[in-house]
Amino acid sequence: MADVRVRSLTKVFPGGVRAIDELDLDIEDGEFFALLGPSGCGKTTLLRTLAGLETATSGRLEIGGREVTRLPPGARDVAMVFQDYALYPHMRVDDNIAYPLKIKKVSKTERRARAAEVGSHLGLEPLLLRRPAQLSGGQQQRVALARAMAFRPQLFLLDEPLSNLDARLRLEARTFLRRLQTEVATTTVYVTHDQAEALALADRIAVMEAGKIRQLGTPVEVFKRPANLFVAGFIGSLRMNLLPATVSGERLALGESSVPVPPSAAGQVREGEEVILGARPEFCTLVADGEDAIAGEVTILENLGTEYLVTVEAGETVVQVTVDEGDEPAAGERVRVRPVPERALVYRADDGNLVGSPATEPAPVEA
Amino acid sequence: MAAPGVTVPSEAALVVRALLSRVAFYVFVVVVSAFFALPLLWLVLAPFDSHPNLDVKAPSGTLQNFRDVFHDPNVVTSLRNSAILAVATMAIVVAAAALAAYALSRVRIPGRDLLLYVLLLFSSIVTGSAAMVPLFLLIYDLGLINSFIGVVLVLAGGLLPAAIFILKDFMDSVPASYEESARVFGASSFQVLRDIVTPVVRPGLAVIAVWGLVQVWGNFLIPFILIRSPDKSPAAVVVYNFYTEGGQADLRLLSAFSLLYSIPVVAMYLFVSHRYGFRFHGGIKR
Repeated sequence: MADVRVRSLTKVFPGGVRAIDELDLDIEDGEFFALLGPSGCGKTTLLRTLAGLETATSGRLEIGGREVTRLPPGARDVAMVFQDYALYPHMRVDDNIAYPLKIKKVSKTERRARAAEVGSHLGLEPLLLRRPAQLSGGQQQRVALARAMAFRPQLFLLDEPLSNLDARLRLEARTFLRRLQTEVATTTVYVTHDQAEALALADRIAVMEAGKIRQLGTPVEVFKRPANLFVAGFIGSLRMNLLPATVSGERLALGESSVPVPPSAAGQVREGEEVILGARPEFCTLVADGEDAIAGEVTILENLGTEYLVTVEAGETVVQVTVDEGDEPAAGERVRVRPVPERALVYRADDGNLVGSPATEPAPVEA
Repeated sequence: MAAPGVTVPSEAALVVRALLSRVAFYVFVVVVSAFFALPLLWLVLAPFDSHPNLDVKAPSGTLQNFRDVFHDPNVVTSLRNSAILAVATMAIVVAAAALAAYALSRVRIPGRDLLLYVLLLFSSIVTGSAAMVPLFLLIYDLGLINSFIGVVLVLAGGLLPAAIFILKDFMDSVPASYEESARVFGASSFQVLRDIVTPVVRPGLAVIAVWGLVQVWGNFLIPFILIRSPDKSPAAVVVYNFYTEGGQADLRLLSAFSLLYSIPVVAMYLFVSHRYGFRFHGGIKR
């Protein structure tokens, strides 16, 4: 049980790569916290720095109110689950689970008891005497979790633990992981590049890019109001429509068409300003006619199962919209796409930040 | 199938050609194998012959040669000396090479690979004949002439570079996450090496151990130069002493001793092959 405090943490690798850049972060006790970002954004380096496997170049790290910046990995009372699980191939499952306790000098009887207890909790009872090579990917992943849990650390660090599982198993493991974390209520930092995983699991998400946090918030906040174009483009199973537009009176001009300035940005944009209109395909509707919509021609139809993803081209502008299965237009048809005004967002073209949201707008960065 | 106008060899001609090429192939194989098989055949047959010469011939079927060879007081001690030298050298090489290879595999230092290749180069120099004079002088100055320690040190020094080189590859193949996870749980470097790395690279250690044993068992030059007294000589040196009073090689004793001398190596090959499966069929994992 511990909170995590990160203060102006910087990690520069030999060779000059700045993996983490003056990063500040507070993770609360018991929180399930996701570090999300594309590869190379510094999320794994941050996790490894928390674990002590990398040493911070500068800055300060606290876990549970104790400064750990310079402590070796073993002295931090954290457990880490690796992407490849790192199960020791020469040890049986129960010995794998008990190995951290052996290092901690827990007595053999207690080690056995705890391995059996955690093992049965995670449904590993019939597998305890096997070797890791005799287990499926999902079982190996649970053994890795069991090993971390049996250690009873104050902080769990999970490095893409689901990425080696196939798609269906990943969904199962995701639900399992969420339930487990709620039960043990141990602070958990979770690294993933999969935005759906982060949205589904985390209490809060930090979206990272180039060693910096681009947005910090609950999954709902991050999904509904991405703070900048980077987050807007990264979050969501379907990519958000990001349409260049020009402010003209109370409207945004997009080529031939125009839509009203969404309420979220009303009164905060200047006449003639270049902006980007952000509207998720799920938050757009196809309308027969009407002024507040983008007129164009249907070019591609993609079946998503219960819905269709319709791509509409209006001159230079390409906009995508989801339509319920059965209501989809035909390719070549002329249609109008109307972004739902309450859900539409406006970003400034110059710095890419969301207009009209002091809560999510990052503090000005000093050069 | 054949285009018109092209003469197609008859089926019979094709069969004959295939047959001839097979016959030619096997003749070639037999000739080549004979070069290797004849000395081995001699080694197996000559010890049981009452008057062996350098021909391979059916033995007269006597065990007298073995009785005679055991009359020589140096024979049993020499085999024992060989075993002591081999085991001691192997132990030093495995232990030191494991530590060095682990360190070299994990620590990033500039020019690491160059260092490894230079080491490998040295390995052939240290036990090569070019270094014999300086080696002798060195061991003489250390007062280790005619001692097992001197021989073991020189042999271990000669084997270590190649052993480190081979073991480093095994160490490199241990995923870093094994060690990192153990370190996060609080394991010390020594615990990581003992509990995780050593068991994982055990096949590599076995390779080095067997290779080291065989190398020392068969080494003649180093103990020949550094050991003076016959009761300390290993088998490889003693084999050099089987002469008749006339100065001729005594093939009766020589062949019997050679067979005894080669048995441990063959036995070890069979054991390793059985235990670790270094078999010669297919290099691809099934």
